[in-house]
Formats: sequence, C-alpha cells, structure tokens
Amino acid sequence: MATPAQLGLMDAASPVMEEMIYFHDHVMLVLILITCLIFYSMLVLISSKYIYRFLTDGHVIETVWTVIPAIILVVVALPSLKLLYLTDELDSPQLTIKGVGHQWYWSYEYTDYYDIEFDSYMLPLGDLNKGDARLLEVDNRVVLPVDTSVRMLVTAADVIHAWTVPSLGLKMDAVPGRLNQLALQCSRVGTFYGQCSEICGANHSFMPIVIEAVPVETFEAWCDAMLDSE
Amino acid sequence: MSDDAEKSWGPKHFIQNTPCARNSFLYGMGGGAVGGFAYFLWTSNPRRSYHALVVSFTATVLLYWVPCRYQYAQKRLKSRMINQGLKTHIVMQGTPEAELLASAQEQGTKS
Repeated sequence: MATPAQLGLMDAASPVMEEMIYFHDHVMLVLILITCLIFYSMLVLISSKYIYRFLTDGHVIETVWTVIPAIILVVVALPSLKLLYLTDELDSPQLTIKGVGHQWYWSYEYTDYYDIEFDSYMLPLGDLNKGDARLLEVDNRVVLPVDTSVRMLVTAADVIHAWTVPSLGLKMDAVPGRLNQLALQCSRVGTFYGQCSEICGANHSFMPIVIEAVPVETFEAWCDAMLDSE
Repeated sequence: MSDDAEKSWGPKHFIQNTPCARNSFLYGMGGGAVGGFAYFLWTSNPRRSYHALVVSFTATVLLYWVPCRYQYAQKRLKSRMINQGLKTHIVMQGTPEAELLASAQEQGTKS
C-alpha cells in the first residue's frame, strides 16, 4: 500500500504495472528536459536587449517549434499506445473471478471449478488488529494464485463503482448491466490494496479491495476452506 | 513502513530512484559544460555559448539515456526468461518430459 505522503507510483506487482512505471520514467525524462528548455528560454528572453516593434513572423523558427513538438509527441505516443494495448491483452486465463460492486461493499464469485461466493466488507476501526491499515482492511480478501493469468469480470448491482488496485496497475469501472474484463497477473506473493474509484454514495470511501496473492497450494487450501465453511 | 520512505518528490525522486537517470543527468551536465565551453573557445560569443551548453546538455542526456534504458530492458527480459526457465524446471522435475529434455541436452553437449 502507499506509505504516508507518498507521491510516486507504488512498487509493481504485475508485469503490466512494471511497464507502466517504465513508461512513466520515459515520459518524466521528456517532461524534465522540456521544463529545462522552457526555463532557459525564459531566462534568455528576459535578459535579451533586442527590441523590434514590427516583428510579425519568423518562418524558420515557426517551423522548428512546430516540428520538434510533433516529434516529441510521437516519441511519447508510440510507447503509450503499445502499453494501452498491452493492458487489454488476455493470455489464456486460467481463472475467472467476478467482482460485483454494491453499496457499499464488493462481492466476489469464483465459479470456474467450484461455487465460491463471498462478500468483502471493510473492517470497522474497532475490529482492526494492531498493524492493520485503517480504511483498507476487509473481512474477506480476494485470494489469487501467484503467477497465474486471471480474468476479472467487473460489474455492479446498483450504481457505478470502480475496481482499482494501483500496485497491479488495474482500474475498471463497475457498471450495472455491463461486464468489464480485466487481465490480472500477480508476479509476486503479497497483499495489495485498492479503493473504490467512482463516487457511489455516502460510503464510497469505505469499500476497499484487498488482493492476497499466494502460492498455488495455499490457494487450493483456501478454496477447500471456503467450500467447507459454506 | 519506514518514516523516511518517500520523502523526496518530483525531479529529485526521479533522479534518485530511476535506473539510468542519475548517470544521464551527471553526464549531461558534464557534456553541457564541455560543449558550451568548447563553443566559447571557438567563437568567443558568450550568449551563443550558453545556447550550445543547453543543446549539449539535452543531447548528452538523451544519448546516454536511450542506450542505457535499452540495455536495462534487455537485462529485464533476460531475467524474466531465466526466472521462467527456473520455474518450468522446478515444475517439470521428475517428469518423463524433463528426463527426455535432460538427455537431449546431454547429447547436444557431447556432439
């Protein structure tokens, strides 16, 4: 999860998020260079002693300051589009999970092999254990096997919500009457937090998402435990 | 969670935490200083020398950054392939397919 006053991106837990971080680095370099150029241009203009009241055009400079930004835009747009299409790639998912947004909790269904369904409510402050994150912990987490391609189908039962997990680079609107598909793959074991990202009422800020990526054996044991409890 | 985590932000955070960024800017500053000074020695025009400094800085940053990031991406790809190979090896250990593969590799090594 994010540390206090964190401004940067979270550490990546999926290949897509890694690529997003690398794209962010690429664009940040371009922006820093442009900013340096602008500051320098401002200094040069302020310190310039040239005055010509009848200056109306300059064909060479106008061509230069049109072509160079166009090239910069192409340099930024090409990797951006590649990443955009990469987020939509779904490579033979081994598991499909349905996430349904309600006011104000999430419910999940694992119906590929067994019928596992559960609701995921935020833990109130009084029920938190020492070290738990306030407003982020839930009673039932989404447990996934690590290094497994998962299809996440997101929808809602009442109003529009949004299912988000920043460290996996995931965000998808949960729209009533519509199934949105997300490709999900956790590349490391861990617990990843997110929060509803579409205003949905009074408790919009209090319906978090927690994904627990575990080894396959642990996932199988969790499935057995969930079936036994049902 | 450490209290000192994530205190830097903006360009400082970028330069500290991004692979290739620190060296790019260090070489850029050096290259810009050398380029600007060389232009000044050539032309004795201070104003244009500053322009040459900025252009040299930008060019040096980009000339270091692009190959460095390309090599970083290649290393990343290789490390993913090695990880995947190790995981496949662990999963396949003890199976007939793994033994066939091991014998094929031995024959390849001998020939």
